[in-house]
Amino acid sequence: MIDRSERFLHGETRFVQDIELPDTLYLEVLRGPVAHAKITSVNGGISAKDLGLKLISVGESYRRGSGYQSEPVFATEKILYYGEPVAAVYDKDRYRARDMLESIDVKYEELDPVVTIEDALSKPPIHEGHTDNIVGRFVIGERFDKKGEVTVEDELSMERIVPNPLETRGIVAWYNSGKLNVFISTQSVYSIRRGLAGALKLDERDIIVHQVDTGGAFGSKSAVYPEYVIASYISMKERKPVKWIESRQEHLAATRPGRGAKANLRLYANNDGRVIGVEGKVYVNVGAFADDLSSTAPSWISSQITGPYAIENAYIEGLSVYTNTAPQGPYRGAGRPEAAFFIERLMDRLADAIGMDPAEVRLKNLPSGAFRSPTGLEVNGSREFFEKGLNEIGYWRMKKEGRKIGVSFGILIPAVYGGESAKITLKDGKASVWLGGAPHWQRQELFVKHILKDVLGIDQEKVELLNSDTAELNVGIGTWGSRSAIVAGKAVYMAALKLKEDAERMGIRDTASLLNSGLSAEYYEPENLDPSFISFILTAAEAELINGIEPRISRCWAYYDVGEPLSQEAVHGQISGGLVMGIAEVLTEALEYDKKGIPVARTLSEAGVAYINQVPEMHITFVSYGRSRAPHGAKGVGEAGTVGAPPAAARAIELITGKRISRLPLDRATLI
Amino acid sequence: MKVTININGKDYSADVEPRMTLVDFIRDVAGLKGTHVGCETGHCGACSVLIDGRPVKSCLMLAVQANGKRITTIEGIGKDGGPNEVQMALSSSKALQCAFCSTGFVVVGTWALEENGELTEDVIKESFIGNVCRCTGYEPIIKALRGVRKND
Repeated sequence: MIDRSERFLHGETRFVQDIELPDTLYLEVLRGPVAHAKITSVNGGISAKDLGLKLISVGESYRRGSGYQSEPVFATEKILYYGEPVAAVYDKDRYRARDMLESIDVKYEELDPVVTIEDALSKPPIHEGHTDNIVGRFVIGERFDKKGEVTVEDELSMERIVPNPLETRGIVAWYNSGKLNVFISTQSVYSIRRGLAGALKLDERDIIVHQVDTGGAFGSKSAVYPEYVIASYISMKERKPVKWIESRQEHLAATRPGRGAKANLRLYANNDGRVIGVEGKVYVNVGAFADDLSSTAPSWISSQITGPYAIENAYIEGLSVYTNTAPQGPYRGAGRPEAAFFIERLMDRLADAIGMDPAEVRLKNLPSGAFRSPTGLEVNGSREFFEKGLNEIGYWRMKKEGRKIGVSFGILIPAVYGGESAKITLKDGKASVWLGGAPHWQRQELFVKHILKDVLGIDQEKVELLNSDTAELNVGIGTWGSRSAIVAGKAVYMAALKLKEDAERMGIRDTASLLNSGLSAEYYEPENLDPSFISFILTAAEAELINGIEPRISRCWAYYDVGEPLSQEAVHGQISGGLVMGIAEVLTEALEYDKKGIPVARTLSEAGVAYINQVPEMHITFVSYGRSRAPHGAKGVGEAGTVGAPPAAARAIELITGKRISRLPLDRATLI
Repeated sequence: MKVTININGKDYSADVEPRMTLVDFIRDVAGLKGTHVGCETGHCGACSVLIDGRPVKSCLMLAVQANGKRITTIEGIGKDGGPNEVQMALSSSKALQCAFCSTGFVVVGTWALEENGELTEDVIKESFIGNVCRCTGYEPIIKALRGVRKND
């Protein structure tokens, strides 16, 4: 059996761009050329007059937003962001389909664009019938009077980032014999099924979603998008396969970017470093349209603003706002990095204000037992972890040597809500496994193999993890939010236990017979967040100036709690990948808009993704600081690096330049 | 325009539009799907192939410009019918993740090894400067390839 993890080395993977069905029609989308305009006419192609539907909220969120404007499939009456689908064309020749875009005539009158959070709060509403640009208001915690001897405050912000998986989005939709078959690059076949059913008013039972090899996602492939609905609609109309592959330019303009958050916060403390409380405002730019996840993002960020600390008071007002920019979505960490950056930057400010070592200030505020913060966050025993971590990475020694090391203490809250499903079939001498969360080779196969070896004694080479598929497994959630090792791992573990019992009952003793038994088991159960799932992460960074002007992170350290590590390589790879993304977020990576709301970056390099020369020397240590409640003891790891790296890297650069960093990416012009 | 391009030892002839890119010729005319399209602008390296032994981003070249050239794609890379040193090192280290960039890394790595005889950290960092990997943070790839030597 050729393992999928071997296929990639020979070019034998099958991504959605590689699928060619007979009689395929190629879809191209004409997009809004400006950020804000009134459409006076659209002539040619398919547009809102043919397909006047709206998207429904699917994907990562477990919180319900309300009263927000969800995205239409095509711009209706107004263009509300640059890149918004306005019309679509298709042809059996891909080059000709692109040419046909020129034949569509769109007439519009430009309107004043609302680009930034500040614009949103001061300019007229972008949506008709609204009185302002506010999507949701949230209050987290309670007002408090006690303020202490020292106050530090700052305006902190994280620019938007385009997820930029190396494979862009794509779909092949094929309506055939009353069923809509979808082949797609995705994090969740169930989100796609629900999203298409909701938007096209179809019965979920008539939609079959097959995940194909998926080339990265980082949050961008968890939701349903207009192009998926358009491709399905055309296929239903033409009864032919319809293929759409996103170009990189389209990805930069219209795939949901993450972050885009700002905070005005005050930290009250005493001169001994003990924090009394945190208060202020958190804003998130949701873009032109919202969904459950984006509309409630300020609440999710604020709920974890106390981080691993025992901070007794917190009062945060959260606001999500509309702007004439692409709808916001999750990007690796989705709210966790924002909360960590905000609180950790304030901790550094406090340390500077009272002249204490930043690690010392942090330690002072950690609980050694269980602590429930005023925002409802429960952490247990963080002090021992970080004390040990600082020693393990050699922080105090390096500090004594005069080295300038930035540190961040963080928590990683995995999105376990909803649980996950798994199916194992033992047939033809092998174990075939499907997960509810669509794997895209964050190396889930490694923990699947580990668990099957552990529970059923099956050798690793006899196990194959297949792409997610609603035809194989009818119920499931998705892969995101550092959840897979925990919830998908648990589902595999429980399904394997079921098979073990079945095998014992049938008197099957050796694995060879087991693997030819034809036995199959499925497991699905919802899950809720438990403090044992929350892990602690200590990140440190050291910076240098290349040629005296260009900041770079030269070394970084990660000391992360991953619970029971199921695979050394998989865990290491998740951490190293996250760290480099987190560092790029400080140095280069951003989706910036010009005054008219047009994205500045048109290429992958301009978007600031990290290249190999930016990789620092890495010291990655993962430990098990207690098992999680899951039967196999795993905790999350996927987003640890993007939570931990930005504040540590920002501090490291601050230490060598002497210039305070409050916004990401850092502003080179003010640095030197 | 009529072009003939030798890919992995086999001639492929077709009448193509002058604007057809080489990567589209490789994928759609020759039907070799191992070469991936990541950015269409030469910034990601997923479409890397070897032309007369040297790495080229095949999205930046037109099929007509490759007329008469000898091209090696991922499907033509390997050794004695099996994986070569670069493929073996990446496979055993489990360094890669989503695999979309991998074939580009293998193609460029194969050239770098041929050129240098050994993959030192400097050689790796110089050779892969045009290849983006979004998943791994590169460090596992550097570790996997560091010290790989050519076995003859």
